[in-house]
Order: sequence, then C-alpha cells, then structure tokens
Amino acid sequence: MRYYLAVALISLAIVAYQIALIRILSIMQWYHFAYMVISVALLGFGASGSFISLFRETLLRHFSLLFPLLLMLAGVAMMLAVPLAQSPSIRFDSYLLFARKEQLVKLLATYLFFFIPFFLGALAIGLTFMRFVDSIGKMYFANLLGSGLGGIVAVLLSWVCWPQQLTSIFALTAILAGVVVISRRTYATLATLALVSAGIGVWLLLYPASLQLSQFKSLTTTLNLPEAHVVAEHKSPEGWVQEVYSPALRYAPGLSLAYQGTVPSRGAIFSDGNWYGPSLLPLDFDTANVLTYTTQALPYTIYQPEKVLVLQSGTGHDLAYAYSQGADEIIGVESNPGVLSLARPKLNKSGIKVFEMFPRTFLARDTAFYDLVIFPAIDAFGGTSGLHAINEQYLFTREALAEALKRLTPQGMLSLSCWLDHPSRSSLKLMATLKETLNQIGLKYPKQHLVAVRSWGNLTILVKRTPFSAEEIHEVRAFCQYHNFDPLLLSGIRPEERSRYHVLQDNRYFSYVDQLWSEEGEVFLRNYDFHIVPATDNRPYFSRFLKLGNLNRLSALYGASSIPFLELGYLIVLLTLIQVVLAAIILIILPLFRIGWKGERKAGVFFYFAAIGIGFMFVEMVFIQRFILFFGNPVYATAAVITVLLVFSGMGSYMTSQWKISSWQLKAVFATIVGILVVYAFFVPSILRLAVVFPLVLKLVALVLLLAPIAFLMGIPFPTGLRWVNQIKDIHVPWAWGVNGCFSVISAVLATVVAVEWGFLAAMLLAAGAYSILLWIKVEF
Amino acid sequence: MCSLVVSLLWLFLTTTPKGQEPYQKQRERMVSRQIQARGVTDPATLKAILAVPRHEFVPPDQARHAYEDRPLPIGYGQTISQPYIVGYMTSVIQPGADFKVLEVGTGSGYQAAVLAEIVDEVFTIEIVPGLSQSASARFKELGYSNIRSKQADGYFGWEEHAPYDAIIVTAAPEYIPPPLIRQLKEGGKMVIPVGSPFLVQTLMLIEKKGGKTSTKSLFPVRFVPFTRSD
Repeated sequence: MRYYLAVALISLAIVAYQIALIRILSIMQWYHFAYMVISVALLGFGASGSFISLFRETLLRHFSLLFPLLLMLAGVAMMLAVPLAQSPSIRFDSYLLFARKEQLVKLLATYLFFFIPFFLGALAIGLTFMRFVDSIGKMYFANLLGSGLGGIVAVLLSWVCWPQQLTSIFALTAILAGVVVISRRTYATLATLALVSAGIGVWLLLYPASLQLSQFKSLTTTLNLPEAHVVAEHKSPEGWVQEVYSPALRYAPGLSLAYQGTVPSRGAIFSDGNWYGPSLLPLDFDTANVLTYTTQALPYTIYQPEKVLVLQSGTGHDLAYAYSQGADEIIGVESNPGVLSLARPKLNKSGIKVFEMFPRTFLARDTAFYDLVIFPAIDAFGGTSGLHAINEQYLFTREALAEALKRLTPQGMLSLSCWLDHPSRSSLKLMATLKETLNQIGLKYPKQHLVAVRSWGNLTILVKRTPFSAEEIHEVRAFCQYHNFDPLLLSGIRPEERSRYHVLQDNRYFSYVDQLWSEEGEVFLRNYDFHIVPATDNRPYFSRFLKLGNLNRLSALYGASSIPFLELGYLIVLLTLIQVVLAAIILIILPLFRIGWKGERKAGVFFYFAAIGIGFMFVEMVFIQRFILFFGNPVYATAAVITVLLVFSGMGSYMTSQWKISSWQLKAVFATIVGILVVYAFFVPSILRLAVVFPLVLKLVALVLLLAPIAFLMGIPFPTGLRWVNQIKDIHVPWAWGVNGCFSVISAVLATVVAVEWGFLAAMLLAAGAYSILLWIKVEF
Repeated sequence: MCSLVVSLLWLFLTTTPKGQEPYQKQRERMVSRQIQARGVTDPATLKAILAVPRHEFVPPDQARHAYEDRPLPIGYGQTISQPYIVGYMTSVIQPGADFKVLEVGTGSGYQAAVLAEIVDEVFTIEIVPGLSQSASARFKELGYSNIRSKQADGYFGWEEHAPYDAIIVTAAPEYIPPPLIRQLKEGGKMVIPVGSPFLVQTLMLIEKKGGKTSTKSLFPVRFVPFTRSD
C-alpha cells in the first residue's frame, strides 16, 4: 500500500512542480522559453526508461534502498534547481541568446538542472512499474491519480504561495514520498538524508529566494527608472501581478502630434513581469482625458454611446474613458483576477460594472445589447511580431467578432485597435477577419460598414451592422483633420487623403488594404507573404503569421538572419520539437544496444507505446482548448480537464488489475476509443457552445460526462501493454516505458504545431489515428 | 617548448604596430561593409563613425564584438545600437557643423559621440542613472567637450537649450512627447525607431514645417531592446 502512496505522491509532486516551474520561468524569462526548457526537462521520463533498460538488474536488486533514495533526491533536485539556475554563473537570459554565444552553454546548464528532478522522479516511478509489473494496473492508477491531483493542488496553492515557494512544497512532497517507503534496513542511512533535505526545504519555503527577472523584461526596465517602486502586488494562478509607479511612466498610445498638453505620470500594472496596462488616475474620468487625442476616441466623436461593453478591460482605462465621454452604463470583462483586484477599487463609479470572466464566455452568455463594444488593442507598441504566435487568442477569431456583432444595437459599433507592425500583418489579418465575418452575416457591401483611421503608429477600426452614413463619414474626416490622423478606410476616400499627415515608406500598404477588400481578396490572402487568413475557434492563433512554406522567400526579402525576429514564438516551438525529437531518438535507440535490435516484437512494442503517447497527449491538449471557452477561465479549465482525464484514466487502469482483458476485448477498447474520438472531434464544439450558459456545477457535470468514458478507456492500453511486453520479455518493459515517455513529450510539442497549422479538429483526428494504429498491432496474452 | 612557441606566435599576431589603434582596421571594415555598402554615403557621417572608438562604448567583455554587425547589451536591459542604425539615423538628420542636436536616450553614449564628431553641440539625456553616469565619464575620458549630458526624463527634452536643429530619440515610447515637438526648430527633423523593441522596427522621421508636424516611415530596421518607460 505504501508503494502506491509513494507513487501517487511523487506523481503529484512532479506534475505540480512542472506547473510551478512554467510559472517561474515565464516570470524570469518569457513563456516560449519556459515551454522549451520544460519540454526538454520532461524528457527525463524517456531517459529514465533508457536508464532502467541499461541497468535494470542492478537497480531492481537494490530497489528497497534506491526507491526511497531516488524520491528524496528528486525532492532535493526540485528544491535546488531554481536557486542553482538563478546563480550568476549559470543564469541564462533568453533575450541574449542571439547576442552572446556563452548563453548557449548557460541554456544547456539550465536544461540539465531542470532535467534532473524529472529524471529522478520518473526513474523512481519507472522502477516501481518494473518491480510490480504484475499489479501494474493499480500502480498506474496511483500514478495517474497523483498526477491528476497535482494539477489541482498547484492551482489552489498558487492563490496563497509565491511560485518559488511552490517548488519547495512539491520538493517536500517528493521527500515525504521517500519517507513513506523507507524500510527498516535502510532507515539509518535515509532518515538523516530525509531530515536534512526536509530542513533545507522548509527553510527555502519560509525564506524563498527572490526571482531574478531578465534585465530586458518590461518590469525590470521600468524598475530601473528613477523613483520607480512597487505599489501593490497580487498572486493568483493567472499570474504574479505588480503595480509599479514612477514619475517617468505615462500612457498615451499613438498620441496625436497635434496634442499640446501634458501627458500625466501614472503607474503601470505588470503580470509575470510583462506590461499589462497603465494604472488609472482620477483625471482619467475627466472629459479632458489625454485619450481624446488618440484614435481610440473615434467612436465617441461620431456617436454618443449610452451602453458600452469593454472586453478584456484590463486596468480599466477604456472603462474610464467611456465614463469620461458620458456613457451611462459601462460593462467591463476581465479574466485576470490579480489585475482586477488592483484595478477594481479605482473603478468605483456609478454606472461602471466589471465582471471577472473570459470575454468570449461573457459574449456567449450575455443577452444585453450595446451601443459600443470595445476590443483590447492588438499587440504591444509596434507589434510583438510573433511572440504570441502560439498563444490562443479567442477574442480575435471570426466567431468572436460574429458574437460581438450580435450584441450591438442597430446603430451600435465595434471598436478594434491595433498597433501597425512591419512587415504589415496584424492590421491586415484583422481586416481580413472582419471582412469574412461581415460576409458571413450576409452583408453585401461589407466595406460600407467600416471606417478605419490611422495615426503615426496605430489604427482604429469601427464596424457597424448598418452602413456608415454620409454625416458619420463627415465626422470621421473632421476628427482626422483635427487630430492630424489619416483615414484608411472610408466610403469615397481619395488616395491623397490616406497619407496627408503620416507618409509611409511607399504605398504598398494601401495597395494591400485595397486588394484585401476587393473581389479578389481571397487570392490576396492566399498569396500574401504572411499568414493573414482569419483565425477561427478551431485555429485561434491570430498572432501566428509565419508560413513555413514561405521561409525561402522571406529569407530573400528580409535576410535569413531576420527570420527569427519576424516570428520568434513559433520558431521556438519548432526548435523545441527538433530538440526533443533528436533527444528522443537517442534515448530510444540507446537501450537497444543492451536489449538487442531485432525480434521479440520490438516494432510492435515501439508503435504500441508511441501511439499511446501521441494519442493521449493530443486528446488532452485538444480538450483543454475546447473547455477554455466553456469554463471561461484557462487555468481552471486546464486543471479540471487534466484532473478528470487522469483520474478516470487511472480508474480504467485500475480496472485492468481486477479483470483480465482478452486480446479481442482489448481490440474492442481500441476501436471504441477511435470511434468516440472521431465523434467528439466533430460534435464536442457544438455541444459546448450550447452548454456554455450552464451554471458552474452543471458545467462540471457536463465535463465529467463527456470526458469520463473516453478517459476510462484511455487508461486501459498502457498497463495492459506493459503486461503484454512483460510476457514477451521482461527486460523490454523499461524500454516500452521510455518510448511512451519520449513520445508523450514529443506529442505535447507536436500537438501545438498541428493545432497551429491545421487546427484542433485535425489534432483530434490525429489522436484517433494514433489509437487506430493499436488495432493493427497483434497483442496476445 | 610547444607552449612557448604558441605564446610567442599569439603575441606576434595580437601585438599592434606602434601608433595604430588596435581596432582601427575593424572599424574601417565596419564602415565600408556594414554602413557604406548599405547606402549610407554621407561623408560627414562616415568620417565620424570612423573616428569614434566604438569598443570604448561597450562593456570590456564585449569589446571584441564591438564592430560586429549587431547591437550589443550594455546592462540595465539596454543595448548599443547596430552600427548601421547609428549611421543611418545620423545621416537622416543631415547634420551640419553648426547644428545643435538633442539626443533622448544616451545609453552607452556612442550615438552622441558620433554626432559630436560632426556638429557643434550635442545635448543628451538618459533616464537611467547608472547609464547616464557611465556615459558622462566616458565623454570626459575621450575628450568630447561638445557633449553635454544629464540624467533626466527624456519626456521633457532639454528646454533651456531649445530649439534644436534635430532630435534623435533612441528609445521610442508609445507616444511622441509633445515637449520634444515644441523644442524642435521650424524645419527641424526628429528621427525615432518605432516598433517592437526586440524585433523589426520602422525608423520614422518627424518634420516640422510651417507649424505643422508630419511623419514619414523610412524603412524597417532590426533593433534589440532599449529603454521603454511604458
């Protein structure tokens, strides 16, 4: 029993530690590098399989000593990895990777420090699978149950602990797992280690080292400003939020060059060290607001909205501006509780209401109509050029815009702003998405339903369900003239009007805009150098612009060395994929020198465990994405999906220890999994769209009802497969475990690439395809 | 014995002939290959860049990379711009010998030094105290007596010496500070990089003519991060 408990505890610790580590690395560096480092570190699972294959006999001979020792060492490695990776001689800076070669060495050292705890933990789990292969169903159940709980525990503790404290807590959990299985024979040796390491863990928990952020993160550069200081901070699973004030901080995005006044000093809010938005000032509610001199003031100059909805209202400056312009009822929707906790006290005005929710979920559930719906500005100043390429942005999909249009009063408007980037991508993709959305709701001349105005750095587009009137167009022209802005889209626009104040390098951008809105718009979208085809809920990657097939042309246009700078985010995912594939090949091949290359159904075993790894991870990834919109909170959706999926898979696994499954029954299980996945691929999105209005309890019930059956079935192939391999030849069991570990890591990265390139539907069908491979493998007992 | 031979060879290869500055050749190569070859032909700009020891403006451990075709980190999350960018930004304002130029964002001080080789007076402002102090010390050490620097918020410009013939903003904020526009002479030029600090940016020229201010996007460039106070 205590072995099951130890496996459950270490599994919990590993998953929770992984989540904490993603947070820490995202704070210190940025998300994509966190993703890369963790992906490589997770290869510890594959490596443990190879290691056991090579040293199986020795490891099993000393199992009673090694198992608790490995668990404790995993705990020690967990608690020391972050402090070591932060030490001055090791600390790498992702922003300097392109500037300093020694950063590569530091990156490798960072990989190593984070690889070790996963390797040791996985080695301990793998050893129990070898040792207790006859009761693998129960052991795998303990593994999955612990992993499932790990997700929830990490999320819940994120409310009360700093991320670096979390690593100590999960390290102590791993040490506890070791203590649980200390035998009398090894008591003297291991008890001291347990005490010392637990002491260090507790000390690090009580006195956590502060995280060293990259010098290039916006929080760090802001704190370098004179008199900059942190005013308030808040922790939550969504991020570590800080409010900083410095007299040198100001906010006036794309301010008109005609503005003669003062731009007031203010604070700013940062989430995980990244700029989130400006703090509010009391004068932001005054009519003399500086935003009156930005393109964002456009909707208020041609219309007096009474009811305004601000999606992803952030720190609240759009809410305050709507208030300053006389709107009676202003609704804000913001999903980050930390940001909201700092912003809400400053929004205490009659008529302003803010909801903590994912904006898309709010749109799906809301039944009110608005005179103005404001979307958050796309990208940061000048464009983030692909840094968010693999971030799902459900607010800028065709479906999101269609839902927002439905919430407009007859004269109501959508207001969308974006920073103008170079080469032009964001603004063109936004217009393409609007055009397609307007076409789909049956508007014959969509261009008449838009106006767009450009400053020197940004663009604001207004969209109506009815065509803009001559009077409104006149107001737009007057607005432009007064503020030195240039109209970009306007009924009856003359070419010279477009660059009266802000001349572009050449007129190509205008030509692109005109081609996009012409009859041949689709041809233009297809042939454009970047991916500007509208994002959809199936492929919600608005900021992904790189066409992989176009790399040669882009190299010729911008120089090969510029490519990483055009779309760094996506390229890092591809780089991660290459790294994990290469490492996995080595880890899978290495044991073959020991266990032999041929015979004994090796090909079958390889495909069986590779297919399970791919199938499971693809399903998990697609379900997480599908349920984000449903629950309206990415963190909780992820935790809920992972927990339900793993716990019910664990039950499936447990069942295999009670009932012996025959070969044909196993085939039936595989076929059922494939069938359910195909059906789910097509129907789950529609079911979730209908059920989005449910209260939370019913939503949880729906989640369990949808996921439990498939998860239960997906828990069967792994333990059954290990029993089958053990029957063929027991020394192949660790190799199979390693193959599964390697493919699970590869699949986690590959699933992102598939979703970005072909969408979630394709990813789900691929998962079904992976499970269908099992049907062709002869598994006999 | 072998190590002695290697040491002597290394000494021979790395010893600079008397009177020749160690990085002179690299600097000449940098100007011809990275700047001139890419279309910056203004003789005053090229002469100025040839004269300024760029390696003195980077941290000692980066000196050997000073003449490479890329920006380099200088601490505080800042960089010294790519040589070509410095050349291009300098040539865009067409500096004359009698010019009074304001630079916002001193950083390492390299851009100010290049300008100081051409124009009468350079005023430069840096918001980060550490950078401002080290740049001031560097100007003094290298004998740039026509550069005046101060640590202050660049938003306000340097009112007491205004108006300026040209303003170079090396760290563009999300807005163009109104005081800078006010401090620009009639007919004066301001150049700023616009865009993501890490990736591709566009250089923008702001001109003040007849009391009206207009902008012109010049061409995309690749910078790496610099101060943004947002």
